[in-house]
Amino acid sequence: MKTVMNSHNESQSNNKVLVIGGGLGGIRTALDLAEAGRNVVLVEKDFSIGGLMTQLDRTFPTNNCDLCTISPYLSESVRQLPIEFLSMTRVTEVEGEAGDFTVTLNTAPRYIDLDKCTACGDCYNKFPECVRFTPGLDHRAPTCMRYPHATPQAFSVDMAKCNDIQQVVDICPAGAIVPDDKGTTQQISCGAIVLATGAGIFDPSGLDNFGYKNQPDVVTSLEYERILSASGPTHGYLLRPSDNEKPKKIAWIQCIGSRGMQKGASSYCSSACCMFALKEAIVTKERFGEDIETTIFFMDMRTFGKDYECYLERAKNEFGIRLVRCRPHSVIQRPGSNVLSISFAPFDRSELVTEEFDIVVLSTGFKVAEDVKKLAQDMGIELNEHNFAKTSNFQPVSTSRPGIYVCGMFESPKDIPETLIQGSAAACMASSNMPAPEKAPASEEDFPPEKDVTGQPPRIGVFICDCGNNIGGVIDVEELAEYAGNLSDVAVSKSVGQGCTQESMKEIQDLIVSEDLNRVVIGGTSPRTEELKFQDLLRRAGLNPYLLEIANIRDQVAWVHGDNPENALKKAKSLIQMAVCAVKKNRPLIEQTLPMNKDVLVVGGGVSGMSSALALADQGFKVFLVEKEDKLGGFAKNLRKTLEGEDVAGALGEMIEKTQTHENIEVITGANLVDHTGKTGMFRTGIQIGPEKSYRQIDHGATILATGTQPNRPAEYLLDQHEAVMTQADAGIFIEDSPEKVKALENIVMIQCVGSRCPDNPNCSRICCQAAVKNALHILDINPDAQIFVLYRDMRTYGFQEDYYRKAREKGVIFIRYEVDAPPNVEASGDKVNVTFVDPILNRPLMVTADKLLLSTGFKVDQKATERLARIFKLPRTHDGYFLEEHVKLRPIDLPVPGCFVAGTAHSPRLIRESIAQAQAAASRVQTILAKDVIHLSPVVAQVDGDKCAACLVCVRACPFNVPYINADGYSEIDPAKCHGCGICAAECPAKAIQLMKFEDDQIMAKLEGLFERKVA
Amino acid sequence: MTFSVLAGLKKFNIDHKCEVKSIYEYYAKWIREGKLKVNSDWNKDLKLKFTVQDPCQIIRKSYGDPIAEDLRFVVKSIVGEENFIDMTPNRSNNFCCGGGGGFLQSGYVDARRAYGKIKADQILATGADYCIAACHNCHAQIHDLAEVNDHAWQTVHLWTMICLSLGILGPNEREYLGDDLKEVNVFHPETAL
Amino acid sequence: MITAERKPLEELIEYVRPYDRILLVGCNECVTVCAAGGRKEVGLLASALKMAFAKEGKTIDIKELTLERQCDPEYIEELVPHIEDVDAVMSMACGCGVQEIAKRFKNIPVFPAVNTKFMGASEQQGIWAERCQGCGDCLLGLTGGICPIARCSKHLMNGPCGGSTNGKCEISPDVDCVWQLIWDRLKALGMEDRYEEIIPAKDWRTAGGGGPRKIIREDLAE
Repeated sequence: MKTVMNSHNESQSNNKVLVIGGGLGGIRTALDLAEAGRNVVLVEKDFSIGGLMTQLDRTFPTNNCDLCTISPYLSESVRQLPIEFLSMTRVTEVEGEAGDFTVTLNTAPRYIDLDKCTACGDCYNKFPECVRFTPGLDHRAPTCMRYPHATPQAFSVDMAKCNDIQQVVDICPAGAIVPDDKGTTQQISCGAIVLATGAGIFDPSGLDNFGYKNQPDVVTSLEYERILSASGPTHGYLLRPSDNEKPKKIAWIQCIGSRGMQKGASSYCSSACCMFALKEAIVTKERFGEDIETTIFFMDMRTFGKDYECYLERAKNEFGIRLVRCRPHSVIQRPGSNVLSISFAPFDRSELVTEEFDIVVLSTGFKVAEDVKKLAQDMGIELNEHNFAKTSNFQPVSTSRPGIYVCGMFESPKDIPETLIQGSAAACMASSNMPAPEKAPASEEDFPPEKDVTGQPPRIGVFICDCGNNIGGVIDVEELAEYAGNLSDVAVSKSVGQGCTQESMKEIQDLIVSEDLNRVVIGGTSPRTEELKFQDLLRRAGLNPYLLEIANIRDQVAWVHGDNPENALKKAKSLIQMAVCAVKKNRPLIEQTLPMNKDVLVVGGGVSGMSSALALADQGFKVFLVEKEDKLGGFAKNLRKTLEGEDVAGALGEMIEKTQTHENIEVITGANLVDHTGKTGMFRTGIQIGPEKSYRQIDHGATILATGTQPNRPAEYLLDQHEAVMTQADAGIFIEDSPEKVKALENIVMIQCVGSRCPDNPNCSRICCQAAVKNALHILDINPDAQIFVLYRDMRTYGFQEDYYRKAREKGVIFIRYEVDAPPNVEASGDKVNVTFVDPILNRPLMVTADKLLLSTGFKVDQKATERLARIFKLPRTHDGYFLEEHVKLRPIDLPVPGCFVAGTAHSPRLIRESIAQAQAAASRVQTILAKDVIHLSPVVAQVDGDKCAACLVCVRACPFNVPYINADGYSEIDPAKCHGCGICAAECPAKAIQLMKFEDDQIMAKLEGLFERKVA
Repeated sequence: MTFSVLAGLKKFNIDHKCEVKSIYEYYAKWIREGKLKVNSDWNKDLKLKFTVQDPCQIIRKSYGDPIAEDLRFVVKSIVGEENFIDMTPNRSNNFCCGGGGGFLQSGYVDARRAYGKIKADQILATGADYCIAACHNCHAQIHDLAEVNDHAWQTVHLWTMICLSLGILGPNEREYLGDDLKEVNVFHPETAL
Repeated sequence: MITAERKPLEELIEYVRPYDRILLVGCNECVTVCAAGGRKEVGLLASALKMAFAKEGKTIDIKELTLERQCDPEYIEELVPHIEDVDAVMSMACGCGVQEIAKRFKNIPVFPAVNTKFMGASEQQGIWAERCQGCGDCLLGLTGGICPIARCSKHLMNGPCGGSTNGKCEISPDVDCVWQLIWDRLKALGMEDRYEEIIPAKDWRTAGGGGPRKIIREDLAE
């Protein structure tokens, strides 16, 4: 067991943050804080970190493998120096206040010494069926590792199930079993605490009507994920639990344990289930057969996230997922067979239809686990009625106790991107309780000196990863390693399991040193995600990081040729051979450093821009806040109250006041961006201010784009043509400012999805359902006799908004569904309007003469404006026109151009609370990159050979960043500090005078020669 | 207490310290403890077949499968396990009889019987001679359904059968028994002395 | 610059077919700028030829070299060490370069790889247009800086012909009528009077009509 010192040095506690919970949210918080120079203690009650995400098979909307996308984070979080990770540890007491907490931690005994355990698996093999973690489908054996290559990479013993510990002790070759392990209790000091405790999952055993307890083919969604997963009980084959047969018809039933009032259900919506059911259905068809019939029984299809509506359309149109709007009651097993039958009433006809399925998946919702509720209460944090942490709309990650923050599921049910956003936001807010960190993290002196390899014949080490089943399931990695070993100049060749784990990387590092290797080839995953890691590894082994070649045998072989293993292996061999030939030509490249500019440019002065600016300014950064209008406030200026009744105008006013008077923020209004150059740590942006368009350049180190989006005003339903018709935003103002007019209203009709979820604007605007409910409740507060009709396609009141939807119905608001191909009809009738629509239950058209018609028009991007900004910053956008982030799942704040981040509705439609969380998250991300004092200039830049240059100007014209110029000596010159390494000039130069470092002609030619080389027998 | 009392307490938000339970649970408990000495011998030779209704408010909407199991235990104890036929579907998945919600008092007789057809079909499918309806509303509806289905089955209360199997069912408590049971185990307080 | 375009590959293949070893020489000046014969084009052509012959089963050995220029003898000298090992030379330079190589190495056949086109300027990346025909007696001062000899289809000296329509030459709607351009320019300069001044019949001897031309600078030549 690692011993942890109590913090004797008081100054240390000032820089330390405790993160409770090692799931994705906790890991993101920990990494952000560590990268920004803080010390982190990450505690997790389970024996390894990863939380829910490690148990899922694929994630929406990219349908990537979960474990692949999260694994690098897991191992990284343990390798990062300032993170102290304690597994099997719980918090028992918290004392003190923000800036100075004392926390008591209790670590349960693992009975295995983490420092000695090599995870060889002998104990696992010898003792009864130790199956991998599969909730509900497999029991656990005495020793259990949670998922393949868990972090920490060690087993743990369940003493309660162990009959004879001495046998286990004897079996262990590393002598790592500790039978008398008592665990430890310790106290730590920290400046802030972040609760990232995740969610429990509803147990449907109490719902007898679904037969979950006694029908093996009725499974929860998490159990289904395990069945689909390559690391699950069926090893990635889709088999029915009862008889291991392949299913042909699968049904999902939504809202199990959510949106309910009985039998232990929670009344709120669990937010992510509609998407994950769609994902499970799509993945089922994609991976296991187009002919498998998939049916989802739902009430409302809540696909409100960024591009999620398009995902829904694809599910319906491309994959043929059947959606039935009905909440069926019973799942009945036909006696004497495994078949499950569900009877339901389809929406379009009144009869009872019975269908049979092989597997029924219950989409179970999320709730707060009992131990988390107790912990929160012990910590003195206010909880809402559903036991989630209570936070305000304007400080979404701050709990009621100063210094303690929350992120992820414990704040409210949500999906992975929102969890990551809150994780970063919590990191930012936690930092605000402490002075700026003293020294920059992991500087150059920590690495061993670089070996000089000039003149040495190449000694190449080839390391092949199997990535669990992801590569190993298709390619025989041992054979591949053997093949590589026979290539010329290869000194070492071996397979290293899952290469990105701490252990494998240590093995590679040690071999580089012991075998005196001077080149490294990794046969593994994508350089996009892994290159930095392996370059870092080379540095730690004393080699220049550019003496590395990565052959992507996962994406380019295993993932695309899974059905053809024989040829897949041949291709993998070719790729490895190419890499081996190329790496011999790799030269050491030196990274230059320049001083980093730590100022930040925030573009956009709405709630997001101001929140980012304030978060950064409070922590000592100088911020330039540029706003194109004359006043700060953005779209929020049009809002009066939130759904929960919080005062937007007041909070906004306070925020504007704070922003304008903050000594670290320079506000520039009436300004437009016109140009932008440079890279992280040294950007220069030009703006034009005021009607006279005076030009000014701002030097800054990072950029946050918080440029928002536009409220939509489509020419539909007589909007802007008839006085009775207005948008929900207009209505919010009208209701608040003119209550006496509201009292006089008789009938009010609201129409949802106006101008969204249509071909012109395909995605959901997310905020309109709650806006409609908010306005309806507000109208009824003033005028309880008003008759309100809401015409909707799906009510998307996710999370705790669902409670307000229920309240609206209880108060008599009538909600009527309309189909997209039969929308309501609106005609003027004096100063009122006649709204005609078909009631789906009566199946008859109805007409309401409305005093007011409120249209939920949502948001639409001003494509010209975002196109202009995108061109200036060289950013991609979605087809809707929103900025496209680096990775829609795992990097929702970073933009593909390094140093650039997005926050608020510039990313996608969102509520104030979500925008502010993203803004604080962007501030945190900025702090991670500005934490260092120097910029390391990438040596992957273009270089000109002046002798060969013909001064033809092709490179000058072709460069998207305007970097090359003809110098005084008459040839082209490229400033390595400005070059982005795109390689366009090198490709275009007709004199072949330009080479892109790391991608030089001889390196590429060597790869081709390696590919085409034929061995003469 | 009865269900209507419970519903009233809830509707008018009246605080109470009562725990609400169903009598089925107690019948089952007492039978197991031997306090209620029921005996199914009376049906040993008659071999009359019985099925049981799962009343919505008690089973599906309240206590779920566990109480359904207790109910079946009681029924099997009093009629003999081999004489019990479950309808399909059953327990928490069983269909409503169609008589609740004031339907019996509503006057829409044809509609009520149309809604009850599923229940009637379920009972007919079992081929049972008797249906035990342990809820007075279900009893009324199922009895009415039998009238329009050629009296294909007899409808009895649970207490009736318990008393019969205890041997204490009096002569004027036999209104719902079929002719086949009218004279079985008749209890005359005078003669039992 | 002098613009050129590479000849069709079929033609070049036939030139070198009889030979097993050739020297392919590029030029780092004009033909590099117009992407016809620079170092990159040399590499591309060498690969194309090798592949074409490989398909026929013939192996051809191609040495690739790019000189700073091919119109000065000093640069041509750089080819000397390589000439022994080859049977033919193909030059990707303009006609001047091809001839200089031929002049220096009398015993080896020299082939042109490009068609030399005209003296021109870049209109934009990838587009070059003829500007000057080297008439030897430049009258650009009279025509507002726009040349009627190079840019008028009929070399007219005194205004457009009847075929000038909407500012375009009658031979093609893509060709500007240069006299329209000249007139517009003179107007913009406020020099309309120049238009009235007649430019006399041109003495074409300086334009090559008097035989091949040479410049001798007595102060520079030895």
